[in-house]
Amino acid sequence: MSQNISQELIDKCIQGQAKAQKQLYEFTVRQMYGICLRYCKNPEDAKDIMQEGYIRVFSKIKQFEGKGVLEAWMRRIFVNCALENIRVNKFNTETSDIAEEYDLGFDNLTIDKMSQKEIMEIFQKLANGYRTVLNLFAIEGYSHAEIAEMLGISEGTSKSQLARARGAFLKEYNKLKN
Amino acid sequence: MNKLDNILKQQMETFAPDAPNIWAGIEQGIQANAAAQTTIITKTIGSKLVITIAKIAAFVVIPASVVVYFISNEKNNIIESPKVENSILSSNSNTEDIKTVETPKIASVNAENKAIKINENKRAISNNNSTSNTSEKTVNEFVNINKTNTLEQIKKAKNENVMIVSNESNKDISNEDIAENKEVEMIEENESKEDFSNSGNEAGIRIFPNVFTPNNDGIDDKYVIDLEGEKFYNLKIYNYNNELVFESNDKNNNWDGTNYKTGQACNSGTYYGIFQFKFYNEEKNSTRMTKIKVIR
Repeated sequence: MSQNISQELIDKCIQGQAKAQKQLYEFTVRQMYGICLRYCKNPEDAKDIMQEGYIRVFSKIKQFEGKGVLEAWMRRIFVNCALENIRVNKFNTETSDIAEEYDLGFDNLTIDKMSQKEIMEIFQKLANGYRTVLNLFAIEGYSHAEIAEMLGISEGTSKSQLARARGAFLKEYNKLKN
Repeated sequence: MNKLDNILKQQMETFAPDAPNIWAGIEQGIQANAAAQTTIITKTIGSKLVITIAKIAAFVVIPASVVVYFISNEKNNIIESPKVENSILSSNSNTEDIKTVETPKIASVNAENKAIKINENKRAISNNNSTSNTSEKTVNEFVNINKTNTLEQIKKAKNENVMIVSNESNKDISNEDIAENKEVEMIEENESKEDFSNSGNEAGIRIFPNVFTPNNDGIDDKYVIDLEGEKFYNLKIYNYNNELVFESNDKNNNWDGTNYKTGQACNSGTYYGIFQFKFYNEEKNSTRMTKIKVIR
């Protein structure tokens, strides 16, 4: 977010002032679109989730009450919207055909730098479940316990999903590079 | 944290690509939400009014039936009870017809009314067991008059209430319109003056860092805001998921990069600092917010 959000702007959004709402949207839209894209297979889905997310943000902003940082609070709403969307698309029924061997020796790889563009390209090729768990664990920084609760799976499933997701990511990375 | 996870976090935490403009759709969604809420409010007002109608009707019908009973008793000392009952019940069923159009709540009110009325009628029947049927006409006349009166009154009440309902909703709309207009005016007036960004006296803050490397190398191992002349100081540090990891009211108590609740070292990544302060020459607190990049 290039601009800092002042309490004054938040207050005006709580009062439902349209100009303030638009300004908050403009301040945060790139960041939030980034989140939506990360969780989605394509930009169309991301756009839908973003719209739903903002509508929810403005209807719930009264509940924010200065609890921490608005940007982080908003991000949680967008993540939840994205998860709901994925759940509708039943990512739990996906089966994995990714070989376990990719889990091993992964840290020895020399990938020091990856661009955002490369990562996004790979993310869009991953199965929904893998992309989701990488997002939640690596980027958002949730624990396995939290992820298990958010997705309605067990902690063990979360851990094994993550290991497989890393493997799948690497597989796609190698395809991209070779 | 795995190496890949680290790369993903570092790269993607700040992922903020050009976004399509979807404000129009969001605005529509907000308005649709607001409209849905208004309908709920009008509906509650509506149902309250309907209940009031039912109550008024109850007050009209019960005395009416009592009056019928007493008048006929006094004048003729004779009543043909079943007929009275029938007519009252029929007037009852008429009011019911009017009212059942509305909500289930009225139905229950109605049922209560009916119960009361039936009791009244039963009493009438038991009191007049011995009476004959000489002045059937008069009684029926009374009953009819009463019936029409009651119906008229109910209709009148209903009309009034309908008028109130429509008045109220008009009022709602016009008030909203006015409020909206005012808001727009206010915003337009202020537009040039404010940009909603953080304000306050920052002259006393010399350094408000946004990068922090708590790796015990002797450089920047603590997060220090360099300032002088403050009489109020409150720094809160939140992690990427909006959890408070540090709070201090003393500028000499600085964050060392650990979570103050668990004592665990915080991972590299983005954190947020919310800093409230007041200098000696100031009346009000000022707030500044910054993103802090923690690099280990």
